[in-house]
Amino acid sequence: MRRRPLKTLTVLAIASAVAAGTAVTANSAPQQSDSHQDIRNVIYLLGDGMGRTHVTAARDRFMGAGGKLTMETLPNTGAVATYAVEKNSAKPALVTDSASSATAWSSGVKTYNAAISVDAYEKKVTTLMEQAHAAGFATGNVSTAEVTDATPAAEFSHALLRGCQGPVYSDAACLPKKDDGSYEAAPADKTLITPIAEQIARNGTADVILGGGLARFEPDDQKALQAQGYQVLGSFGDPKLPAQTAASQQVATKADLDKANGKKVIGLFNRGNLTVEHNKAALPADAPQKQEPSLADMTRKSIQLLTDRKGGSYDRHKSKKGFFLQVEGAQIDKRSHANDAAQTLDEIKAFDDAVKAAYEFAKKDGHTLVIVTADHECAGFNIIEKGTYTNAEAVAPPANTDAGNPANNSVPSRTASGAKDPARSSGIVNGAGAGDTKNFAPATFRTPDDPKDVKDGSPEASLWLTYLSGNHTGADVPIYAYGPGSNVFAASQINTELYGKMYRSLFGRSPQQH
Amino acid sequence: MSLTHLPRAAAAATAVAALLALATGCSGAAAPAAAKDPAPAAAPVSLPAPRSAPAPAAVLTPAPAAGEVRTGQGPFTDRVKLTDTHLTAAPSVTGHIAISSDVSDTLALEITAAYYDAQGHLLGTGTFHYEEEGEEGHAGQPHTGPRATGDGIDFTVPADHLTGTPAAAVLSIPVLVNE
Repeated sequence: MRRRPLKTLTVLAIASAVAAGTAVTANSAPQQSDSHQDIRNVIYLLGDGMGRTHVTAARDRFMGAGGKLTMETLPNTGAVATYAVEKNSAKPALVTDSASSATAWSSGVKTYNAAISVDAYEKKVTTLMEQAHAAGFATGNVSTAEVTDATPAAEFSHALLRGCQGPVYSDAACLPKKDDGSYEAAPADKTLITPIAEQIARNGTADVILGGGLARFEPDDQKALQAQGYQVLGSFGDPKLPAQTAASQQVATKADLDKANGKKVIGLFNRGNLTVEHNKAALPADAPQKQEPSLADMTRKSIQLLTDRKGGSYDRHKSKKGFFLQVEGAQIDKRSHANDAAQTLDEIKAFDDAVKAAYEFAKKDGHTLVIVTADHECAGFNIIEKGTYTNAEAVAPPANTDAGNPANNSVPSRTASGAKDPARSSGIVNGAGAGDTKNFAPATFRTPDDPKDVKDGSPEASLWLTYLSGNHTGADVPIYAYGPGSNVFAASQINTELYGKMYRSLFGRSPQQH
Repeated sequence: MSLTHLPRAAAAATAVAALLALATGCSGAAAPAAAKDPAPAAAPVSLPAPRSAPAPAAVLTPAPAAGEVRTGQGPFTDRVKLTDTHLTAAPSVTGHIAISSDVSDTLALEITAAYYDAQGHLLGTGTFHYEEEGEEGHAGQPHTGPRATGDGIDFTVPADHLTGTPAAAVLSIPVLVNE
């Protein structure tokens, strides 16, 4: 082999070290030394649909332009590419859904949209939570969505279609369609078409399960959970009824959660998704939704339950195996789909409060890795300049000609700029234009940098927010990390790489079959 | 000491170490202490057969009025608004459904109709399936037109092999999933 000159080796060493994630970011937060610190716990928090601009907008709104959300104070930052693949292939599908993305970090494989921890060829793949559970780690799965929803589901169930949530099976919800519109044959592995609620209630993968989705479960699920030793908060319904209803089931409450002390706990606080904080705050004190815990409440409690289960994180005489906890702020995505900026912002803040709970625990514990990221961006959230407008409000796209230098012109070449169209921009949507359902205008919000008399929805408010669409986009998402080994996340990475990095954190070696 | 001042052998070793770090994704910092080898995966969990929707009542009590369309209470009754329901001569049940619980795309919606004669005896069933987004939606064929969320959609539940002429029907919604 021809010897390379020293200079080449030197450059190679530096470049490789940077690529491997040893470079730190410009964040000024104190860097935690990785030496002599083993990782016992991994807390993975994700804001569903939370793109880079979502974070910036929430920072502006709640902290001011010069401030930082808690997640932004974590010392290592990077970016994550989120694309999916087309079914039965490796061909990228540039915009992912929550199912494919959650499968990517749960199992390290790219898969098709709608797949829950099966690969692109419909083969079941083992998840990190399953591996952690099998290895003796405590495990938790927390979400403000139904716990059968795609993001939590991908850690502790397997389904050909994310719609196969329960309470019952149906071909339409559980079996993919062929090109001719007929359903595929049922797979040999019936797990893949078993409603996710049924799987969750029986596989014991997560010791702590907190979120919504009680309507997906039935009394036989409660019985199965209790037989495994779960403390079930609330009631899954009346076994004598053929189908459960809102009247027959009893959701869990924050008071129930506060009292929970089991080694295994399931608490479902709403029959559907939990109530968004923006609306919960406006409800009367006796509204049942007021009894729901916040995401931060659930995060703190799940950490307590998981550490108690292991005899406490600080007990050196116990096993060094700690816990793996996934926490999802689900409504950032759901409210972005709805283009409701007020609800979106408050859900990001609620998620950041959960990040704070995890971060505070990690700083005290010293053996906990905290990762904060998203599964994909949702709705093309944008901060536009105060007083300006979007193409959706204009009669035509911007002009694209340069009279001073025609060489800058290109095709399509447009000679006239798009003026604002009064029919599609009839006033700020959370202000004067609130009554017009066809209005494409921005929503405006005051920030801590604005004078005290400035109101949300006014032209004077400095934060002007718009949405491109009601759907996901293919933008990279941010990632923040703290704790031993967290510098490996300070990189531009693909979402499947998160699985390997978390696996190494828990097991101290590269991923392998268990 | 900077890399450029390292002896050749040391620089080479550093390069190899960096390459190994790149290959394994580990940082150049001290690797975290290895946990004990994970135990082998537990034996596969025994699951019951996938749960099916409950069968419709064989006899409807009280006996229905001619042309009556009832809504059976179920897990998702509180998430939808059913209006303008009619039993047609086709026979089928038509109506309008609006999902009030979510704003995102509907991944799965199933409406089942159980058909009864004038005495309330079950004659058979029919099913309406609907979705706005799935693999098809993400494969470049997004749903257009009315949506189940918000204003809602019209539906028709065709009867399937009835044993007589229906006088009434009961609608149920066993499946509803939004993104």
